[in-house]
Amino acid sequence: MTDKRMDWESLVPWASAIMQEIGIFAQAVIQGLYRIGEWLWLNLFHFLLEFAFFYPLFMAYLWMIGAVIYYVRWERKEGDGPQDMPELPAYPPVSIIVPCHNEGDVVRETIEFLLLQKYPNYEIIAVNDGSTDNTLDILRELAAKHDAVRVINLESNQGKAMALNTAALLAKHEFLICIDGDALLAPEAVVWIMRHFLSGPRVGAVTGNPRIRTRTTLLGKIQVGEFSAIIGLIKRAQRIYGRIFTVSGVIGAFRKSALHRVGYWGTDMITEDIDISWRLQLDHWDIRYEPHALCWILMPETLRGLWRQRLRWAQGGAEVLLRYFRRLGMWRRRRMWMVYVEFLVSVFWAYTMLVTFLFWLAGYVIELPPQLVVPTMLPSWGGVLLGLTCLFQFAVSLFIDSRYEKGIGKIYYWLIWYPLIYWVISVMTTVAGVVKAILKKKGTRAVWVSPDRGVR
Amino acid sequence: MRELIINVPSVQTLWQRSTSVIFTFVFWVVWFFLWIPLATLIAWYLGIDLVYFQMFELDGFRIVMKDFIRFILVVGLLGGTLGLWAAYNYLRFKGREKRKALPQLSEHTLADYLGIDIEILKGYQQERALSVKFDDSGRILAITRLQEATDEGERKP
Repeated sequence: MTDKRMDWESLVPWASAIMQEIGIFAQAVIQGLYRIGEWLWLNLFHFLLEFAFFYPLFMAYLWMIGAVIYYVRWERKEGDGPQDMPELPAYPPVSIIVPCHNEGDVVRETIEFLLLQKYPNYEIIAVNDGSTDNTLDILRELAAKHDAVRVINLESNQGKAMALNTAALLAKHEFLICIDGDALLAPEAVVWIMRHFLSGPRVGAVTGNPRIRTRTTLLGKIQVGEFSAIIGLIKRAQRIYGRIFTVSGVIGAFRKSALHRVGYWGTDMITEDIDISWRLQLDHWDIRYEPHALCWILMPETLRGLWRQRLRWAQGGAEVLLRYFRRLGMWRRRRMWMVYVEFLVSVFWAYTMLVTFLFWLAGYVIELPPQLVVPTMLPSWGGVLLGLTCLFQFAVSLFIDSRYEKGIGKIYYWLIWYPLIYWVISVMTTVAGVVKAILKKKGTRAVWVSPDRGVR
Repeated sequence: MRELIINVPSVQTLWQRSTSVIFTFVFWVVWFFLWIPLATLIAWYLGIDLVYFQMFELDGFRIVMKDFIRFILVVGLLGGTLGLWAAYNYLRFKGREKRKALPQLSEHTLADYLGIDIEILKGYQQERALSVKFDDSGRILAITRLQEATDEGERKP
């Protein structure tokens, strides 16, 4: 007993020394972590600022380069414009599907325009989806007048996806061209679209080229430029990559056997066009872009209308991000990874911009440490780069896009707003859309929302 | 038929039109302002001394050039990668469609999918006007013929 007590007493100084060493070591680790944290925080902030500024610039150049490659590779060899239609090896019959919800003001014009299609064999299926106005009466009248027109009436509002599904199941033909109830499809469009289905057995869908009709207001003019200078470039660049983010919801063509394999349109996704694009490409179908397949559309010309539309698009994109995350974890789906990553980065950019904006605002109210101050753009070489990029982007898109619309150059005077409008609306709708997508109850069905159809 | 392009400024008030023009003009001025550093450089090179513009330090210019070259390199890297990827796919797949064409969707397959007789499906596909009833969860309950409006019917008071 006495020996054990003596052993214990002799260990005390040792234990004390060891504890002291541990204490010094812990203190050093904590200080080191604090310094690393401080360095990371300040450099992260600096990195985020640089990222917030340079990401859209780098993406702009990537889209431009991709679009130029697309133009050189395909577009410049394809005749003198949409009117110069190619000769097809065959003209299989097609079904043109037009889902309608309260389109009484516009659907007559849409259907009558479709009857001008320069394609020998097609049917038009107009789907009335629980409209509360005179849409059904107009459609029945058109069906009585024109043999090519059929009507499917959904007795209750089921949403665009269900309208498309129903029409697809009841359509006579394999190839489906789907346009919105207020869109005017150019007479040559079906020919241009069909050449892809005939030349590529694994082409599951073709997306056309929406052109904006509503140009009265500043917002309308800006969107014309946006569709030309941004969306047009992005679609071309994505085709060069080999996978696209989405078909255009307003003009998309599909192979019925491809739709059947992927289960047709999902009725619980707010943007059924993004969802079907992902389903098809994950099933290894190709989606092509046809810039000659023009479709004249009405876009919102009020801030409220534009906000609602872009919020829906942002939410739809976020829903796709959440839904398909797990399905991408397979090597054979690797070609979709870059599309997914790009969209994910754009979401991250939106939140970064929000944080940057908040810090910039805070800089006016409280005194921030110098490393956390958001620098101004004017005057700086960053500003020159921004100005230069705007110039290039407008020039490239004007050069590529002018063959589809004479006189589109006039629009470019108004485009100077675009960076601000795009960045502000894109950031706000992405930030809100992601939250809505996360909070959305699973299985909630998407129903029609009456759109803003511009100033007329 | 209406015009394809809808541009009716008369629908807007004078205030709305004026505001659009003024604000757009302001943004063009801002855009020109972005070019001040480059304009300063050119003005300095040309020997023009303007009170507002300051002389550009050589050292600062070197840093700017370094950043600019880095920017160009990144753009070149991104664009070059995309171009190489496109070239790779072109060389690998051009004119060589190894993937099998899948058969068109047959009416049998579709009828099985819908759970109906093929003759009924064919009948639906030939009908000019149909009405579809759904339950609350979006399942089709019934498909019936929708009575078409006739020209005579329209003329009746």
